[in-house]
Amino acid sequence: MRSVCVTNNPLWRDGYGETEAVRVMEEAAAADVFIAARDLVHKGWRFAGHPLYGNFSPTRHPYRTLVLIAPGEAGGLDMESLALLEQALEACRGDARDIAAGEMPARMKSDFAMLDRSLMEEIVKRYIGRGGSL
Amino acid sequence: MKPYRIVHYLNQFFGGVGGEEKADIKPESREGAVGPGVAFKAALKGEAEIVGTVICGDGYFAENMEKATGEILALIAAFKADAVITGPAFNAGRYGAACGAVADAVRAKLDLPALSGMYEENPGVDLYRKSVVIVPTSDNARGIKDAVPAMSRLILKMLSGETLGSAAEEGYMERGIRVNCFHHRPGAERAVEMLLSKLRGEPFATEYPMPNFDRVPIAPALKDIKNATIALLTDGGIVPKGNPDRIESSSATRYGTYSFAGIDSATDKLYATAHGGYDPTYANHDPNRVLPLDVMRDLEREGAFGKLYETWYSTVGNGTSVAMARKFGEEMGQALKAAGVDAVILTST
Amino acid sequence: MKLELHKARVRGIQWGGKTALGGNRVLQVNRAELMELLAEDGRFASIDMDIARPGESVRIVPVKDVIEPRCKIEGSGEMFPGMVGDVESAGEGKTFVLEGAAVVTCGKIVGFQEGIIDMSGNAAEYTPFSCTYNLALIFQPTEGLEIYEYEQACRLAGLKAALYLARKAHEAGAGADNVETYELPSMTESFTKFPNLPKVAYLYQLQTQGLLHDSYVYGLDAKRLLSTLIHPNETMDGAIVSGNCVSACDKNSTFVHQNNPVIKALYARHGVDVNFVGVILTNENVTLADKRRSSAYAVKLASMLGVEGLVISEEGFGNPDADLIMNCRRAESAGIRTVLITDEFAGRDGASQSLADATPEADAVVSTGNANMMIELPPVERVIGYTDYVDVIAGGFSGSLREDGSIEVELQAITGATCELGFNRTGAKTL
Repeated sequence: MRSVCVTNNPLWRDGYGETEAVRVMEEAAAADVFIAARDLVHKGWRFAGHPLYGNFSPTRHPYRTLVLIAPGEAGGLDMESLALLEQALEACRGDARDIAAGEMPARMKSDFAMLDRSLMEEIVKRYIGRGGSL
Repeated sequence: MKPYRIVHYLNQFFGGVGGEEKADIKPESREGAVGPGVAFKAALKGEAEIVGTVICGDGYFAENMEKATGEILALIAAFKADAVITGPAFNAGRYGAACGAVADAVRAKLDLPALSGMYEENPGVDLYRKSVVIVPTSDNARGIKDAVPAMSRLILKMLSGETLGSAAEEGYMERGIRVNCFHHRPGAERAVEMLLSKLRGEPFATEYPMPNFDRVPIAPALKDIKNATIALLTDGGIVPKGNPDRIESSSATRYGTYSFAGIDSATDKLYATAHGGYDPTYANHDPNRVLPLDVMRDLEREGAFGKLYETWYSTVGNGTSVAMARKFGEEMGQALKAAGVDAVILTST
Repeated sequence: MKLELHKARVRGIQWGGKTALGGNRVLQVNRAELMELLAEDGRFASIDMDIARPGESVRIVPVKDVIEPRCKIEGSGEMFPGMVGDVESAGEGKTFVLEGAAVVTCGKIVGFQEGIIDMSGNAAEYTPFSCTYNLALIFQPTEGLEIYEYEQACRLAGLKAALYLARKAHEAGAGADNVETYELPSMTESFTKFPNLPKVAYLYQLQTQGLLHDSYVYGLDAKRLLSTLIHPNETMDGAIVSGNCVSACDKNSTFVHQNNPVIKALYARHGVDVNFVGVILTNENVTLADKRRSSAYAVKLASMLGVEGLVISEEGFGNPDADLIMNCRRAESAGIRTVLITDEFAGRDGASQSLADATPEADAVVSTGNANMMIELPPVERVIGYTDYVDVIAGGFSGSLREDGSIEVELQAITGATCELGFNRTGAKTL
């Protein structure tokens, strides 16, 4: 498997439901997606895209979709990905008054899901593949 | 106009109670100024006076932060204080942390102006600079003659309700808080101006200083782990029972050097934790949890690596000043290298 | 390449029988005529229009884009080339500008993306558009309209309206109050012309992450571009158009692209103490490989131009900081001195890390302010658009829209408040 996509955005099941490389984490928070990515980075995977995409602080965005590329032959830690991860986790320190994903109005949540999908569409296509037909 | 009522917070030493042996005293009050508090009278110019002093042992505070803070706040409130001055703590780490904590609590819970004074390397600075106004002082008590006028001027300004200017303007330590302002010119013009100064080699002031980079380059990976000598160190505070080297539970000023010779496991018969920053129950029950000697011995027997280095170091990484940590690291590193150690596992909490 | 901006100063706005700029400098707008023009795009179920003047107790929300009314009066090329105008190169000849007027588009594309413009009160000083006479267009999409279509329809409608206002006013005889001339010679000439002045270029980063986070150059999605050169005059004819709504404070509206302050500042000093060599456009794609490609290419272009210094501006927060820092590092390594313009997301208490990335080479930074600063907006007499979205505007939070109509929100929600082109006088300092 050359690349993998970890996400908590259920919209990715459209077209990628059968794709093993796209792992939709059920009922997970955006922070859990970062942790899943962190575990992969520690094992030598590296980011295909910058984890802080979109212009919101990750605390204000209920969805996170991250694409990672498998470790190469040489193995070893990708320092850039590690640094990106640390920066992303730093940006995850939110404010108590931020709207928690659970309290978000449904319309807003679905807007975020749609945006998340569209912002990451290209990277997923490029690194994972086109997915099944809708 | 009646002078403002200030309460002064001191530790056991400056409060005249005693030295390290009295570090465990509980919070107590005195009427009026005590010790260094007397020096504030002239600088406060009759606009304010120290009506009472609260003294607390640094050890007691470090080990009972929440409880001690509550007790201290109650004593302060009893004086009907208008403001609080804590320290100056100079370079005393636990005292600095206590001064910062008390000033912060006064601000947050009593909604009164409060400030402190410390040496820039005091761990209390890193911990509290964002929320507390801290006046920079020298690293020892001889600096009291400069600290007092600076602290007095600031506390009077805070009492008058005037907003404080920037750290540079007012003479306190930069808090690292960004606040918005309006410049005379738009950002684009300021940018072109700044670039021209930079190109001409003229001085310019960046509007956003990059964060401090203290990056240590990572050493290359071990090539031959099967034959490597590995050392096990910790800043989780595991020490031989009784803490023979009296490593402090916070703001440690020393580390211990011990031997693993003939020892297979970090049992509770041999070791305990001295660290004041976490609940010690599980670490005391089985110190291997913080200092995994048992697992290292297993792996050594299995041949996963060559040899476990006999000597181990321990300190308490709780409110340790960066300068102190750097010093420990350099000393330990040199000794380990000289002894032919190939790699180190450093555990923390 | 030489461009003259013929600027007619607008001092009022009202509905009238004929779209024209009156003798008293009041812009009259024929509502029905403009409505008919915009309704040609069948993708709107309804279009509403309203007027907001500086000083009025009016709030416009949610703002999608702001555009300055301009049209070509002489020279090749058309306004907003590749979008509503033909693709031929623009930026030379004469362009008519209704200075002091603006078209503001509002649409419920996604509820939370867009921003607030207050025409009076304390929030007014944070947005440049409290000082412009605004024609607000409020769009409702047809039922089931796909979001990409809706975004494009809104974008084009705003440009069409801006072009319409300028063209009609000019045709009706509006004269310019002043003419600004912008002329930069060819590269060969600029290299030899001011031999003793430092050669400086402007590296212009464009937001290009995807839907509602895009920019267009001559109608092309800038995401697809290799870093490239552009003549500064082309930006004045709308060669760069915003498709970006996120986040309100630091997204570059088409208005600021048309009035790029860095370009203006470099032009002002060109031949005086700087040799303004040109402008390099680059993008801010999410893919790391794209970032590296664009950054390497952009700095290579700067090296090819032989510049000594670069002003670099960014757009957005988070991953655009990575582009900014990467460009800075590469340029400085190549011996090119840099100054960066960016805003900060230092948290509501101002104590968090302001940028998502950092490097010691970034020793010259202009800050356009902390976008997380809290601000209190008073209730207003009239709202243009929809307030039910304020809670969910970037920088808003649950409960931020109060019953009395007042709003507690971060600066992030105010349109153009921390524009990273350095349009405003806002900044930040460390306490």
